[in-house]
Amino acid sequence: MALTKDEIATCAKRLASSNDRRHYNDIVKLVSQYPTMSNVELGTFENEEPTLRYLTLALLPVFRKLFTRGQLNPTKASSASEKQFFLWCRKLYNSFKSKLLHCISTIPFESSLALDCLDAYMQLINQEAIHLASHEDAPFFPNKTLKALLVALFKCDFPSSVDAADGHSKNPVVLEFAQSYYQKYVDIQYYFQAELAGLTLEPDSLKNHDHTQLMAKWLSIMNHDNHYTSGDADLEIFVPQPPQAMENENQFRTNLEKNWLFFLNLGGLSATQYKTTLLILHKRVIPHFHTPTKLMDFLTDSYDLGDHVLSLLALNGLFELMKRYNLEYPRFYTKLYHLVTPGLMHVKHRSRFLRLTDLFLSSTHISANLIAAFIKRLARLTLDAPPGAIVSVLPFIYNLLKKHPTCMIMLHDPDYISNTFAEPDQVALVKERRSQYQDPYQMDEPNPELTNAIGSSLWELDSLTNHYHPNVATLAKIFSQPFRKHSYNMEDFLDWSYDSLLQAEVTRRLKISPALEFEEQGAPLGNYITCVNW
Amino acid sequence: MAGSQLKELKKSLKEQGFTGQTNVKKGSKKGNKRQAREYDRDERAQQISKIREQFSPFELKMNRDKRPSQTGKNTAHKAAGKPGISKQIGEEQRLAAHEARERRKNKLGGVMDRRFGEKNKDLTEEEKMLERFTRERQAQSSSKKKSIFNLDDDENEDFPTAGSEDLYGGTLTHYGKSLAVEDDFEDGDLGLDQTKRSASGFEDEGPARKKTKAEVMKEVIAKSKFYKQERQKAKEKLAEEIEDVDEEFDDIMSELAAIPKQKTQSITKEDSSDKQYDVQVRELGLEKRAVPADRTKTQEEIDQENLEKRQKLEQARIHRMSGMDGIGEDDDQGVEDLGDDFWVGENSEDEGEHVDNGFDMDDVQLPGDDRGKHLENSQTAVSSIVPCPQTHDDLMDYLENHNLQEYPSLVKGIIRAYQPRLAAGNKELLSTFTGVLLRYILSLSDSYSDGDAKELGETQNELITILKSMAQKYNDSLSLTCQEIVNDIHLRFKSQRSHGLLVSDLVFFTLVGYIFSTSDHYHLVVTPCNVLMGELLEQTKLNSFRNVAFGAILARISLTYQRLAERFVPELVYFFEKALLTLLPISKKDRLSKGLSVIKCDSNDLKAPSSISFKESDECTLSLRLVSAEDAQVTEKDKIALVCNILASVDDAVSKIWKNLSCLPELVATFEPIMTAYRQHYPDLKPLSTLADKFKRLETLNEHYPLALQNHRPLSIPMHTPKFEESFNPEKKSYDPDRTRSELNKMKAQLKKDRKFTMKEIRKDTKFEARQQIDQKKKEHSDYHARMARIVNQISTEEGAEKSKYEREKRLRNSK
Repeated sequence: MALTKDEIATCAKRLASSNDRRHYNDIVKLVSQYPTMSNVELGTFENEEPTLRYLTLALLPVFRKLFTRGQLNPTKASSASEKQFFLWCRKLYNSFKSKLLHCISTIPFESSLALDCLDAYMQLINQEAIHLASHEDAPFFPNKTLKALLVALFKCDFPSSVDAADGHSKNPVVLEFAQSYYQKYVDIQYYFQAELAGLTLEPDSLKNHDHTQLMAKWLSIMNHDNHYTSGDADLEIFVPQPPQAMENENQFRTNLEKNWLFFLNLGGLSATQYKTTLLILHKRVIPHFHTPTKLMDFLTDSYDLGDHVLSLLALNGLFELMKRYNLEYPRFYTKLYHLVTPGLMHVKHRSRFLRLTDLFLSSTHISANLIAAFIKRLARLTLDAPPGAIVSVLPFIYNLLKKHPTCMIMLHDPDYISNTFAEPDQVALVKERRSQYQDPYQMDEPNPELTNAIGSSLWELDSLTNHYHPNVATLAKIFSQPFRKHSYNMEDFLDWSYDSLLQAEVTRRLKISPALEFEEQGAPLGNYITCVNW
Repeated sequence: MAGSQLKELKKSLKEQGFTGQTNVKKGSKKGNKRQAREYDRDERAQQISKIREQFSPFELKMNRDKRPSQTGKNTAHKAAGKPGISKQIGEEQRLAAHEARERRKNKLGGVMDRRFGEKNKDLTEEEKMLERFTRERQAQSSSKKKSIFNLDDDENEDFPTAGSEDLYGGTLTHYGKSLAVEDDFEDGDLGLDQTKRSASGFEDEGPARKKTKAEVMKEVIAKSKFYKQERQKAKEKLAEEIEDVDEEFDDIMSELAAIPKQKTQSITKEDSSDKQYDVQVRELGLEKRAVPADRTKTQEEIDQENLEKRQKLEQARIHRMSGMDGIGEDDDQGVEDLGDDFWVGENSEDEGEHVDNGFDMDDVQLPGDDRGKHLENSQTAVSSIVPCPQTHDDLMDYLENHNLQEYPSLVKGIIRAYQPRLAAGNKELLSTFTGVLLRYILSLSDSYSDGDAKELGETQNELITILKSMAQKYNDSLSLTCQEIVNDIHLRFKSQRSHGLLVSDLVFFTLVGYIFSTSDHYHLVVTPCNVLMGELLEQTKLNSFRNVAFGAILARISLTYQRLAERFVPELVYFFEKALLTLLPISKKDRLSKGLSVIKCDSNDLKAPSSISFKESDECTLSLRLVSAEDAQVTEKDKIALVCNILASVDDAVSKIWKNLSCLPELVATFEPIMTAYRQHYPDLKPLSTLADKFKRLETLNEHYPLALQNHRPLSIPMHTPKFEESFNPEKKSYDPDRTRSELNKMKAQLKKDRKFTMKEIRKDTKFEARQQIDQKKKEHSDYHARMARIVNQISTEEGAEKSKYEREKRLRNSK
């Protein structure tokens, strides 16, 4: 039954060269060559693949010939018999298309055949747009054909195709579609979004698939800068005469927004996908939305996931929405305050947190209570923090204090200064105040406005002037010196770690010999270190 | 003005009553008139000078006042100066100065200061004096006479006679004649002369007749001729002798060749003993002269010295601790400069392992016979016997076949053999060896579980004490090795985070603390070690008993580091919290309910037993050997010991370091929930209760009140609003509020003025000088011409006189 390459070649040549209808039965034979792919083995498939690819490439010109001969458009038939023949050809063509889609959607591993099928299918879309239009040169886009492709693309599924690092799909067919068609052609973008929007409304079309896979494919297609609505997009049209409807930008936005929200609300997305989405939110999602505030639910969900980084990124997105699109989000700073956890000082994304918090707290209209709560909490956390963290927190607090001078009371409370030249009753008053003082700060209070931090004092920072690392100790001394510097550039302090600290030490040259211990402390491995039996 | 100047003058003189008829009527009384004149003299002079001024309009310089004055009186001219007079004064002064200069010219000379460096400002007083002294010395030694005043100087002249050259190099004379003739009495051949003289003296009684000059000269010539002849004779004789020897030379040589060689050998044999003698003599000569030994110090004095030394070191340490490095530097240099004294130096009393070559060797350390051997060894080629290991493997090979107990003495042997004074390059070898030794000690500790631990520990201790004494001299190489090791540990820890820590790392940190001064504000070795320990404490995953125990020991070491400087180590807080939580025997759920979930634990199966069944729970000593064993079974007792150990460390930290911090209540607050949780489980664990008591006590003692860190003088804010002057006076030069600036401007103006004035003066001076020169030249010219004219005149008169004389003669002759 299976034909060899030569036979295929002769058949195709015969069909392409002459208009003889007697050969048309060969098409049936050729189209039926495609096997069912649903449970094909990789080993056997490898033998068949070259023939099948050849077959696909051979059939494409045949159908193109049919298009030029006008034999696929039944409305153009002049007689009843011809119409019947044309209908027969059309059926043949449809079966070819379904074969191609079958190849695309069901091959469970990477194959060149699927890619070839995709290319061929897109060629056919182009041909259809030219030849199946209502009359010559009439604008037409075969959106039904595209929809079939969409279904096939989202159905196509093989194991471990989701990139663990950024949650993108690794499916080559999807990537090929995204790269060579979606990102290049404006009409494909428009009809893709339109058809997809229709598809999402259908009850059980997409939701039956694995949600992670769906999101991965969606991300792979959408994660680029060359959008229909982008200002400086460099796009072409795929079909020669696309319909006027395509220029409706609002419609595109609406569709895109719908689709995004559909995918984001799917549920069951992986953390990396959340992260990737949050990272591209500003540049690649929000600009194409009608009402970006609709993303609020998604952002709140991401915050509630519990992952520290995700929460932070979600807050970043929310902040953007608040800043640009007037989103009302009353509990924003409370949520931010909750992120200042004891673990914060010991994790890698500390610098990112401080960078963003610097941005969030940059407004001078935030209440002093809130700022004081942040300062006090950060200061408290430095008590068990590594030097790198301390080095980044100290200038941060300095900048906050400089921006919110009301909080300076935490560093300097003139009521408690004992002046030696003061009146005796004043001295007594100060003494009494000192003895009466109770630290009102509540570390466990979840609401930053109610922590009473402003009534507390930053003893933690004072203690850090006694830190074992000389540079940290010196840096901590800025709080006891006059606040002359306008602000510290945070970037200079954020990225210190044990690694960089040690590197700085190890590369230091010996200029003077290090000082030696002169006292005798008994045997080094005996009573020098107590409580250890060597 | 009407009329000529003369008429005007006459008129004004008359008006004043100086000329013409005076009060004729009043002049009747004679005495009265004269009196009046006397009285008027001053006024008269004033009047005259006024008239004079009036008639010479250029005598006065007038300043025209441009602005009409306030009073309306327009006094058009105001006398401001008398240029003529001031010019004249200046001229006079210049002339006086010029004359004074002229007078001094070619007459007064300066004294050239030839002394060395008297004006050299770079030299200090002491250096100047030293230089003067050396100059003086050189001058004396180079001149023939060491000192002109040295009486003992001319030793050859036993009888300094009157005729000999005196101090001043001249001869004594009498009436211009040398007195040296008296010398002749010495000479025997002149004795005859003497008798002759006495004979002659007998004849004519008076003094000998004074020889005439011709006679003296003759005598001198005769004498010199005689001496010349003598010399020629001697020369001839010598030449003859030389010629003879030359002729016989071949014969002599052949004879010498014929002498048997044995004879020379015997001579050399004799020489060898002589030589030995010579050598000995020379050695004795070169030997240090006996110097009175220092007085033996009493015990009290020694103690006092030690105390002072310690105080000095302590002071330097405190300076370093507070970060004042300049002073510390000096001391470091001092350690460096110890040089060869190091071995006999300060720690000679300590361990008795100071190893000097031969002479100063400690007898307690090594038996006598051994000493002799070592002496010989060290002086001959020991290097061939004892290699100086330059790599870790070399040292391993060297020590491989020996007993553990012998290691220290073997290492000492190496050090002894490579004393820097014994050969060049030994210093470098030993400095490399220091690093090798350090690495070897560390590698020894990794084989901990193998041998007998106690013995190994002792050996290590001894090696470390050796290393410590080496550290004083080879500080740099040791520090470099320490830096490398720090880096190694860091990299190893980064690559394998879970079980990165080794026993050797702990030993290394201990060793660094033992050798180096850990209290410094910044220390090249200790600071990186601190950072690294912080990293290890913070980032080690506490997922095995071993890791927790190592962390506990590391915490101990870190506390020991900070025992003097009392600096705060946040990582310790973190480690204590985390470790105590890990060991806390309650489930995760309970932990949440007690608010203890703030810190994530790495492991849940390291819980200590929920209750203690044994009594010896106070034991808080950790055995490193037990901990480091890979497959050791962790008993419950060990866990309790670990808990106790950590609690003891917390206790230490609180009572030594944290109690001085202002944030003590905050620190205590973090531990409070953990402590209560522990107390519920172990109500009678002793360290727990003591720690709780301590917390309570410190809390009551500690005064916790708000800070006042910014208690500075308030900063002044610069003002930018313009300031208006109430009563502005244009006469006033400047209203600059900046005091210094206005003063500066004033000074500048003054300078400019002075400069202008001085330039003017200098110009005037030069003009005056030029005028003077021209005058002088003119004067010289006129003098010359006058002189020449006079001479010509004289000649012509003489000529004329001669001519007339000649004429007269001629006329006379003709007339004859």
